[in-house]
Amino acid sequence: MANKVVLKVSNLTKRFGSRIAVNNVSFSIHEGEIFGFLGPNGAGKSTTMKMICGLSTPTRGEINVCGFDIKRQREKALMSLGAMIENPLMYNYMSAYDNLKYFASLYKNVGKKEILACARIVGLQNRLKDLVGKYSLGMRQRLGIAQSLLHAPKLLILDEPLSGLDPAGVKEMRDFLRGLAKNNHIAIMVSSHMLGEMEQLCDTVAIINNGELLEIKHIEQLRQGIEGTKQIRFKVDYPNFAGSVVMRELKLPVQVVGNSILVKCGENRIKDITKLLVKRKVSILGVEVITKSLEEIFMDIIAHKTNGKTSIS
Amino acid sequence: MSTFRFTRAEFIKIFKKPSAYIMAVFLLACIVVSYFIYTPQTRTTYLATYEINNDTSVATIYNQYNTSSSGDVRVVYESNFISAENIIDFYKHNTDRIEQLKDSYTNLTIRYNNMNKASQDFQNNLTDDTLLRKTIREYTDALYLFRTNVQSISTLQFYLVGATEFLDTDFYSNALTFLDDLYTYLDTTTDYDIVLDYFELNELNTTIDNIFTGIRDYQKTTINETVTKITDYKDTLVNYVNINTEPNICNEQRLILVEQLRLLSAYADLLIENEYSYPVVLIEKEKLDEFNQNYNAIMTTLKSDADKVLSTSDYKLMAQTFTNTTILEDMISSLQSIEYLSMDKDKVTQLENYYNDKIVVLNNKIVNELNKLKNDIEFFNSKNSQDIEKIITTISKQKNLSVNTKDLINAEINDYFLKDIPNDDISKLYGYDLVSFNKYENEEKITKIRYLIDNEKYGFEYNEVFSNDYTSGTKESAFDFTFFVMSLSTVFVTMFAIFMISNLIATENDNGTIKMILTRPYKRYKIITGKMLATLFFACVFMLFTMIVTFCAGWGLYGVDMTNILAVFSANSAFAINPLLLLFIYLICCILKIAFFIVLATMITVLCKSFPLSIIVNFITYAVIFILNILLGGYGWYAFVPFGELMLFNYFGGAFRVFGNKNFISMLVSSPFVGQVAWWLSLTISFVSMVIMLAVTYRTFNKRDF
Repeated sequence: MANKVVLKVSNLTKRFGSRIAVNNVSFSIHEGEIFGFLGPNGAGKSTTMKMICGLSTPTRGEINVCGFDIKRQREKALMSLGAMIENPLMYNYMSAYDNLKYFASLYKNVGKKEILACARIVGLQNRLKDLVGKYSLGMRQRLGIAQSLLHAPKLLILDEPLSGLDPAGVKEMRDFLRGLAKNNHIAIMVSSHMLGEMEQLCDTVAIINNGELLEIKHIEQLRQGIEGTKQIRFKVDYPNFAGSVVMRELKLPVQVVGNSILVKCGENRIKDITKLLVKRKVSILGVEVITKSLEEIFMDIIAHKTNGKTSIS
Repeated sequence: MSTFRFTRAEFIKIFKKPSAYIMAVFLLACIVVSYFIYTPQTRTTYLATYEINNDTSVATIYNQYNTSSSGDVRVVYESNFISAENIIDFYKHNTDRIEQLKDSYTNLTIRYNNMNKASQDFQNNLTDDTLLRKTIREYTDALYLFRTNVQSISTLQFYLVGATEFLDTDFYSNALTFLDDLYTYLDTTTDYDIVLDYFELNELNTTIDNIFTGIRDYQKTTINETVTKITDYKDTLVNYVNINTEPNICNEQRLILVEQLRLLSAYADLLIENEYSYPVVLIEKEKLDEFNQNYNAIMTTLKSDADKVLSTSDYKLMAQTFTNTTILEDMISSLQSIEYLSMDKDKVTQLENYYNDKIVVLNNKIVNELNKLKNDIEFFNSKNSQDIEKIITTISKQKNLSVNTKDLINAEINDYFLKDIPNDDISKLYGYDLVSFNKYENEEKITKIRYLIDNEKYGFEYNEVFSNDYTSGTKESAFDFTFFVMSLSTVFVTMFAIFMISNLIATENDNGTIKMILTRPYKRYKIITGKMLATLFFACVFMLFTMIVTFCAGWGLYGVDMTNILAVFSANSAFAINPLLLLFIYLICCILKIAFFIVLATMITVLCKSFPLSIIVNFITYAVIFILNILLGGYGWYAFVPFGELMLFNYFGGAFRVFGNKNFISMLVSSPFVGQVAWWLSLTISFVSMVIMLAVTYRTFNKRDF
């Protein structure tokens, strides 16, 4: 994918006194890419995103949005950027329409047409006259997204956009964001705790902990990794015998646990294993596919990459 | 993106806030309340006043003006002119004499001090009496000269007849009183008596010197030469003649004379610088008795005189007296009050020329006009109200000219003498209280009156500059009412603006909406600037609203007089201006003042971050500035404090100020004004302080992480 680079972050560091919150982080995001930022609480996700949006100043490093350095060409850089940081906060004494109108008036050429279009995109076109104070959280989230889209940015920064949404809302948001990325070619940078959702949403995932970028993986790689951690459990009458047979003849790693064997392999091997066990007169009482969750993978990565490194906090 | 785009967005946002409308209602309430506390102010009557009924004719008015001795009458006006002339003459003639007096006073002081020192030394037996006698002699010479000079000045007092009513400062009467007292003292005091007696003794000393000089001279010449020496001392001195006598008789007589002269010398010993031994005198035999008689008489007189004055105890008394503090000494030390009796020659000439070239000429014109009117029989007997108005106006011209002359002379004299003294020190001068005197207002008065006289105007052609002094009204004006309400509402609008900018910055900081703005394509300083400008426009809207509403209300209630106002700017340029234009200038000055407080409030808000804290600090600051203005406003140096002279409108003459005793409302709404710095300096100080505050604000806000 030779897409344009929409965001390039190089050697980004943020220091608060003696504490280093973000340590030498570098990555890039391409047009139309959904980039996920994963990490535990206090890892430095929000801090990094705030620096990209211009809410705080990096101690060191460079941030380039569509080729403009945020420090030297702030206004040009921020023209291409839309953001929704933490809770979307609006002016409660104004209607949704007036809020959007206010933000729109900060840009050239963003008028009523664009406001209504954005409202339509998030599905709020019928509730624009209401005071924002009366909105539910979900509606506020949607309004937050709407305001970030007004000026047709090339990059969208969303910090915890799924927080507080019910499962239906989460799915809606997911579909919506995917639509934006695919149809409008907007690059989206998302941070979240909800690992499962991230796995379904993002194209690329970056894992960050203690201010350091540990891994950047495309989602396929992650899936493969997940695939690679799959285990099949066969509940059998003679587990030891069954285990040795599978090990010897199919050359697959097997673990005997109670009255089952755990074979580390993909689902595509069930066919072969079943055939073999039947051939060897082993009764199969149950088959189960056990997947290592993303969370476990995630924790592994964090543990692995943090191990041996001095913790800085 | 341009700051104005952001400003406009913020401005619209302000007017969507409910708080803005609450403030508007509050402002309206203030306007209504102001109506009830407003009392229209007095307008000075500049026209001459006469009683007018159906029977009054031009002649009646004229006769009253011409013949009466009190009220708006010729005699009263002319007395002002006469007094002015007298004052000018006083200074014209006085200056040289004052210089002389000052010189003789300086000399006197030096001699006095020398004498005191010599007396001390003599009493402490450090020196003999030679030096003391010399210094006493010099002192008495200086005292005589001083006395003469004091006398010569006192005679000039007649020029100041009537001046004490004409002049409104006290310092001349102090000076003249002092001179009178001094002259009386010099005439009658005991100290002086002693010194005078001694002065006479001085003559005795000289005479005796002469006798012995004569004898010495005789000794130098041949015996056959006849030397006649005649000196008279109170008509009792002796003539002595050199004659050939037999040596025996001469010797005998010589011994007697020597003995007698030795007695003389014993008394006169302290006075005489006698470096020679007892002289020898040869005397004619026939003349000897006569000589002896006369000589005895001389010696008796001399002895009694000498006893009286030169006895050691008396002499010591005299020496002692001069070491005590005398009244003379006290009076001499306050001699500096006579500074006010002399004026630089150039200045006097300038005043005299102005008086003769402008004032006298103008008065003559008015008198001619009056005469012309008087000689027009038809006009003179008319009972037509227009004609009556015409004569009254002409008389008023003379009235105003005389009042202006008096004010001008007073103001010029005050300006001359008090110009270089700081305002704070004027009130400490010589024990009288000039606390209500302000040099700046004085200069304004001079400029204004000169403008009137130079342009042949008299004051009643113009409207008064706005004011809201609390006295009972005779003429009401929409302009005064508007000015009054605007000066009150500036205070409230400033508070609203402070609240609004805190709200725009700190509240947004607290509830996080600021983050929605900071991600927009604006440099950070533009965001702060935009908010400030939006608040300023918000304040402008409110002030403009106040002005328009109040002016319309005032028009309905009090009526409008659109006559031009005579304004003075910065105390040195007078000009006529349309009152509406002046009102707009006042509006702009109010807005500039509010702008200063907005910048200050912005800085405080950005530094305080949270809304509650910033509101508290902001209002405490505002209150503190308020109180400082009231307490410290009278001091000259206060003008240099950044918030000291914020109301530029004060530089327009007659503008509302706090100085001296004014009412509570005026203290509330006006910042103090001392006029010690030029208007452009005041503006620069405010501007520079605003720039500094902005720099601090921008820097803090730029560096902050959100």
